[in-house]
Amino acid sequence: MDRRTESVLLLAVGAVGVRFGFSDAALAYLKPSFQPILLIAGVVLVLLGGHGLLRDSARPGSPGGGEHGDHDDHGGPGVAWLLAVPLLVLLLIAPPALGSFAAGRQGPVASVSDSGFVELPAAREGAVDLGLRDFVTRALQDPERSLDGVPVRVVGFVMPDESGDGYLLSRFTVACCAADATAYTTRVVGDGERPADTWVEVTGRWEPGDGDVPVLEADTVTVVPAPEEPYEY
Amino acid sequence: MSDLQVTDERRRLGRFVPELFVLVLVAAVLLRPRVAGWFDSATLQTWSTVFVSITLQALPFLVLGVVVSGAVTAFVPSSLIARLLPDRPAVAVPSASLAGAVFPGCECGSVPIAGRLTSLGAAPAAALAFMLAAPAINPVVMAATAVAFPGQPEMVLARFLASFAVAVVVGLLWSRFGRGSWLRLPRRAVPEGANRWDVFAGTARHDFLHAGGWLVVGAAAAAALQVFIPRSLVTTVATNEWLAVLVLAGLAVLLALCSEADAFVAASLSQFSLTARLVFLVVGPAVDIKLIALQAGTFGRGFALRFAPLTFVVAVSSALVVGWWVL
Repeated sequence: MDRRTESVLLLAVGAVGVRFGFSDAALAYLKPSFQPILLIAGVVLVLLGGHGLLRDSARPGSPGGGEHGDHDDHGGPGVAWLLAVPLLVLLLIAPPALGSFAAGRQGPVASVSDSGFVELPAAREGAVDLGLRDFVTRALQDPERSLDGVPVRVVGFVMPDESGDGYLLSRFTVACCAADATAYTTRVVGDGERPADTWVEVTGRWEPGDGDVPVLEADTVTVVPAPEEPYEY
Repeated sequence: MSDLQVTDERRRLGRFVPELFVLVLVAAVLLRPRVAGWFDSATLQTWSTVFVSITLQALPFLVLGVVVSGAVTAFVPSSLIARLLPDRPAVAVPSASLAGAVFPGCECGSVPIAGRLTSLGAAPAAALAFMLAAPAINPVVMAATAVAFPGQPEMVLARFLASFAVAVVVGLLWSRFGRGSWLRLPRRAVPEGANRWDVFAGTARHDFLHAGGWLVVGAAAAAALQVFIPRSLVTTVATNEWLAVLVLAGLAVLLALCSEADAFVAASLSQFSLTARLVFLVVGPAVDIKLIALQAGTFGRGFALRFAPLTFVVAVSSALVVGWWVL
């Protein structure tokens, strides 16, 4: 790989960094607070690539670093071509946010922490808005049973399930990027079946019971568009 | 004669590589609606999502790493590095490990830095100790661990002690038993005598392309393992302590999580004992698939084949000892 190719590759990778620094498309892969440092990294790469191109054109008689020829070959290791793979994957597959397939492979989370829970937020239009992680952890391990009898509203995607009533409702929590995503899942009963990966907003009540998946008795279920932030953080 | 002609021919074709590359990217954008249907499989899509997110997430840390390695090469005289990291392992290894504690990087950033430090004359044992310590015990990682394990400060302490011990022990072992011939040092990317900024940019560029390529290998492998080995399988062994330790150690290698995020995953693996989860946290930043690929690329395959098992064994033992003592 010669210097010019190197520089173009760096520009391309840098451009992806800059784009994802701004665009919501990055939220399928990363948490929002990660975007600024991705943007900075992209700018640095664009600068490095640009510097390489300028240097090269500034040196007459060496188009493409030809003057260095094979000596310069180690400068552009062949393995660098692999950097084009994520670019092509992004362009061709444009992978979506993790969904029911990935959630189904994780199995239930047991307890998450032994620390106490804060007071439930105030209700809005007759129900408390809760993240799925909050709902699942409170349902499974809150000694105060703060969910008992409280109408709640949660948003998640549908994961069909043959083994019991209704379907599973799931949403991922991400600490850093989608690679560390953990799915929090509850069972929704009283709403029949729904196709996989449909995003729904469920208003209902926690149905106390044992087992490692809590049960949510649905009052109303609305299909909603996939949220801009597909994960909880 | 014919050799020369072939090289000439190749060069002539090679001149158009950047343009071809750009054409391929443009074609990919234009063709996307037509080929989208080919990639519908849930397995492939999940793999792609995880692969892309590991790569994107490592990118800023890698950039930070190569900027530092470029700056060290261009602006720090070799004599100073040799003096700061002298060939006296008893002093250099612990101090290099402590230096790692203030460098807020992910594991992928510290590999190119260690490579440059070594090729600039630092004692390899010290550079390796830095490489192990930096991603494991820096303040960001410690803070993330504290957040992930609320009300359990002993977890933070245990992680610090165990990871610090890994860096020191592996460094000392390497200085005692390691051979120079096992290391293939990174070559200078820019010829001697060039302007400093050119040295800086050239080194950073070279190290980024090199480490970036290997990062892609590691990310692809880690994503494949995540997709093909369901996490639910892992949690079924939690009851047997020894098995649990081995499985979580193996999982840390296979998942290749960023050291700033692994505490949250460890927290969610609550079927396992704290000691088993400490093993997960200590092994992960020291040895994982992505790191093995990066190290093989930076220091050579012979190095990675020896270093990865050594680090793995030391990390597991250190975490077990500290776990029994502190937790």
